[in-house]
Amino acid sequence: MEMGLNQVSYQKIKDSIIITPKESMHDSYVQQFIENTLNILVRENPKIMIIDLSHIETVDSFMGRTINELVKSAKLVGVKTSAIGIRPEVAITLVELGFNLLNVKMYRTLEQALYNQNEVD
Amino acid sequence: MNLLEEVPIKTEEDIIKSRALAREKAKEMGFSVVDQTRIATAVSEIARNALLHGLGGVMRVVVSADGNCIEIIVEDKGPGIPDIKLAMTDGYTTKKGMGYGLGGASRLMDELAIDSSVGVGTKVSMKKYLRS
Repeated sequence: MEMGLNQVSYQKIKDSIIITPKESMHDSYVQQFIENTLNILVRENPKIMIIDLSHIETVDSFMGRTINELVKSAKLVGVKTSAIGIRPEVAITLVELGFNLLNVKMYRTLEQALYNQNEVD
Repeated sequence: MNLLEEVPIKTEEDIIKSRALAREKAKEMGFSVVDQTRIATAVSEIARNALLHGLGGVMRVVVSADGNCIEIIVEDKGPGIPDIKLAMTDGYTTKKGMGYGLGGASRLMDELAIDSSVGVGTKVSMKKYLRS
């Protein structure tokens, strides 16, 4: 569909928007990322937003908080969120860090996320 | 001990640089991808603390002579931490952090030591050992 500011790509498949952030998003870009994404959600009107985490090598509490803020904001504009592709090492690290990703239904693959859209709340 | 490299932590971009450097050194030393990620994440938390709370600082990566231990030292000249035990508590935060920095980093690393004096600054030193 379109490329967003080179650190994130956005892609529309059926009723879903797939958001793929690249590694090493700068802190200063985060606010813009959330705004950009919200604008795209409002314009494209998807049922669901799928965050593709497969490029993300490090999720610290700051990145975790960013994802949570995005999920909460998306919910306010009526879009549910699921996530795919989290790397094993990132999952292990998040658990040890003690950080919780809120209300995000996780799937291994894009196919599963698209197929199980109705599960997500 | 062998000093490898030093990164100033003055901007948000330096946080990414410092964790990238730590990850790269850990990889060179033969740490697993999971350990590399633990180290990079811990560095990210502590470097962000130094920037947000400590007005910026410096990160040093040191590798032990036997190549078995990576040590990361983050030092700032900020206001210091009055109550370290409280600062280590999950969920405790004074600024826009999430409050997982110190406690989380200590779980991700094998050792974490904090030396902080109010009005002088804070030094966080953390170590990870290669499993043989």
